[in-house]
Amino acid sequence: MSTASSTVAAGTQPGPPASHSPVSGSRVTFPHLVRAEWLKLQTLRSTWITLAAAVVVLVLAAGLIANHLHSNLVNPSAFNDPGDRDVLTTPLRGFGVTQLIMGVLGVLSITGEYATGMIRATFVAVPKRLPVLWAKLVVFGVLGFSAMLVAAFAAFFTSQQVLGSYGIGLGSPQATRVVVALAGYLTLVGLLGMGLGFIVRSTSGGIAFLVGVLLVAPGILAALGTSWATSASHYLPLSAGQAMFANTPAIGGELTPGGGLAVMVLWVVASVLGAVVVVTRRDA
Amino acid sequence: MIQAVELTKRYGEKTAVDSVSFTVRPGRVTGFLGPNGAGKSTTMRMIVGLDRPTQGSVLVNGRAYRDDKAPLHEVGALLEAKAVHTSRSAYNHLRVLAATHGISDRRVATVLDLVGLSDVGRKRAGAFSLGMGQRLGIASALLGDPGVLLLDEPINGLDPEGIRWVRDLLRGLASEGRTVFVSSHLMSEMAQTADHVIVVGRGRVIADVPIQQIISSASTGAVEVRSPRARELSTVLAGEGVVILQRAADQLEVTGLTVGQIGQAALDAGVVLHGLTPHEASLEEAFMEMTRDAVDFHAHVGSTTS
Repeated sequence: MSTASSTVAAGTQPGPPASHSPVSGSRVTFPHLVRAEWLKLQTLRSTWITLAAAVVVLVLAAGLIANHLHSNLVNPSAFNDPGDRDVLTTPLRGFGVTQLIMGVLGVLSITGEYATGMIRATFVAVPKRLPVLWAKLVVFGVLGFSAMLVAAFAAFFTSQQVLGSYGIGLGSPQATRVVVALAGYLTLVGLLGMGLGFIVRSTSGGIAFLVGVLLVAPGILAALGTSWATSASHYLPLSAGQAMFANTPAIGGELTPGGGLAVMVLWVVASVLGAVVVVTRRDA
Repeated sequence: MIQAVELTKRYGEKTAVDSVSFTVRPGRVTGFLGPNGAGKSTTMRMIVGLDRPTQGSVLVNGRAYRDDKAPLHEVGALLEAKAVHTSRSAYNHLRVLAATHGISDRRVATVLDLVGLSDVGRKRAGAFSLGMGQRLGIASALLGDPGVLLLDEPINGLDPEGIRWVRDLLRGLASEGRTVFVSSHLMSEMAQTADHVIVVGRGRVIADVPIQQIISSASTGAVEVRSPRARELSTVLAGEGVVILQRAADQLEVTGLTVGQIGQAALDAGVVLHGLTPHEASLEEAFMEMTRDAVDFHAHVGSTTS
């Protein structure tokens, strides 16, 4: 301990006055905050494990569904719904687990800070607070979308490989649009999770909120069965997402791909607006 | 320089900080002293904008902290020992905070070394002891080489070496002309570290005085005397202005005489002494007395001190 004391003495004795310090001149800028938020994600091993899991699960599910689809295609009478034999979108229907992983990662990227107290250190460094929210959205958006593009394209190529002679190439109509839309939807679910996490601040609460909006709400509206509930259900995130990467024309009040994207973006905007209110009003 | 003006924080019915006004000046260590729950932490959180005052304001170097362009260069704060993501290493934790201001990784390494954590910098901060957490918190406070330091109970969880180290560090920072504001609930600790103290109780400022004033008022306290011939000694010591209490068959508590005077008197009378101790708790008692009185006082005179 005497060594520590002597270094301290060396560092704090006469020394240069504060104004001439080697670290003066630096200040909070948006690029600096983006770098800080990137470091936050990058330095947690859980980020990479979670993203890898999200990618692997999507690709694996696509391969398995494609394998099942292949055996059914040999015997066409097995299909009840002609949409089920679409070789482009059917293998991608296994996105359910990946959307949850991305949503939870979004929730955790902020609730992890609240749970550990890190948020206080963050907000002491950046007392204006809102730029932290914007930087988090940018970094998560870019990293998440990159990972999901990899996942969606890998899922596409894997499934088409498994489908063998039934498979299609990326040049097929709609193929690129569907794959990119899937990646976009999965990223937007992550951003929705981040907004919800900012609002409720707790990991368990944020995940419950997310699961409620993504998976429970469709079930409730379906159970109601009224025409009102059915039309409303088209505007839930899950339906909006499915509309985004659908390969069949929208029917009976379903959203078009563009409409689905718009609705999904609105969900994210709404959650971010809620986050803005909470972050600026509440004590940290 | 930190200036609080009628700073108030209410949580529903409860008033945590009640119209507190004070100025913390540069170039000295100012202690922020009060029992747990007196509103010290809430006040410190308001200084750096974590909590919004219900009323009143607090300025750091003439500005609201929130409006600062480079907050880490203005104020270094240690508000809780473990405001750290538990899965991140100490080094990476500091790198993240440094990145918000574009502070170099070299500075990160410097402050890690300064607080003696270089060897464990790559370890998960979640595995740190409370004392190591405090050192990491101090490192993050020093990151921006700020002119104002705000430390909430920095010696909690430190071993005696660590306590001494913090004490020297704070004194050194103050001697460089920085503003050092450090809270504690231990009067004895403040007596050894601070030049000036602001004492709070129940959200109110009770005293805002040089530490010397409290020490001298407290050191008129009693001396504990142990002697097998205590009763005989008490007749020897008796005199004007001297109060003697017999605490046990062999123990007296003497007020009004110094340790030296009692020792000399015992020698002159040929009475053997087994112990001669200035009342150690007196400083702590002065503090207790102060906070107890103030609670009754402040309705009348509190406003003059606050």
